[in-house]
Amino acid sequence: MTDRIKPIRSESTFFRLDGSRTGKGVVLLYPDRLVSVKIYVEYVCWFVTVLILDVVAYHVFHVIASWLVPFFGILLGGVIGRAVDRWLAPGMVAPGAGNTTIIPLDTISSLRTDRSGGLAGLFPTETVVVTTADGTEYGFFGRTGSLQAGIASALAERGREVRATPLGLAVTPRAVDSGA
Amino acid sequence: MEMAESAALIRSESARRYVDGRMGRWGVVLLYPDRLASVNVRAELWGCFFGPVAMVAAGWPVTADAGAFHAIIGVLLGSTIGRFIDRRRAARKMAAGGAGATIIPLDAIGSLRTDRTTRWSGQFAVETLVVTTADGTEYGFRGRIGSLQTEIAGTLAGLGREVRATPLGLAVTPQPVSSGA
Repeated sequence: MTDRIKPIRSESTFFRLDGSRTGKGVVLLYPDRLVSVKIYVEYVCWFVTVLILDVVAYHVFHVIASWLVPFFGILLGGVIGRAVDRWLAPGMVAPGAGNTTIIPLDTISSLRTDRSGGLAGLFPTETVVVTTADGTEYGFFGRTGSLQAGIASALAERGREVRATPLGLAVTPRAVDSGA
Repeated sequence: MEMAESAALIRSESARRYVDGRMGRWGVVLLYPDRLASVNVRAELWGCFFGPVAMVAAGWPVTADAGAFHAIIGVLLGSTIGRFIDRRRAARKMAAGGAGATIIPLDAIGSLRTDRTTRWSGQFAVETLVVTTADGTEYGFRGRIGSLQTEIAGTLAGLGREVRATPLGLAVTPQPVSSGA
């Protein structure tokens, strides 16, 4: 069973669960849920582009271009691999399967972005941390861009109240019908 | 004075600045506890030009055939160093009074949103943070701005302003105006 609905947005990230690294793949934002899918095509692309560049370097420059080939292979393979990952991910969403984690947007209680400086601010890294009502923290580490704001807008679209706090964005819990 | 200004800087990002969608200028956007500042600096552009020249010149005697590879590495390295220099220069310019800088007081901000333009069926995205002030002026910051939008929102919340998410971005509730009564 796959999910072929087009997501609002998708980002290639590493996953963390309560601070522990759990894998790599793509996070997909749908109007009602956030889905993380583990997928590793990027690594295959690294290997393939390094191999292709090695062959090209040997035939064009008549040298195995030492450190340049792995450098460009990983750079180019990363760009291609991330795009392929994001293209394949929506088709790999399988509820209940080990590679898929589904976070219904209604269970989200807060959002924040943890930022590390990385070499005097030259290479900053960001982790979007999504906390659910049961206290579980799902981390998305990588080039997430404005994912946090995107999730907040999707929540607002669903009628949820999301307010900024100095520590991030807080989602007001949905009023529970008492049934009276 | 310089020390105090540097300590107050919350975050800086290299970005191209637009005012009402026009006048794109390279520079750095700096977030302070009470204002957002945009300073025009161009070391990153110079780095993109001189980086490849330096790399090709350095590698020429050894690996003349791989000049194209060296040029690309030069662009990456030159722009990275340039970005670092830009941020330091921008912070120093602000510390020296911020002459020529565009200052947006945080109290004047009415809304924040991120415009996303995508290429190749959404595989590559360019983000522009749009800050709209109370008088309707739209300041756009295009580049790797990451979570700058929510960081500005957090800073506004720290100032006691109410910031709520809407389907179109983040809306800042206007500051109540004292009637003077």
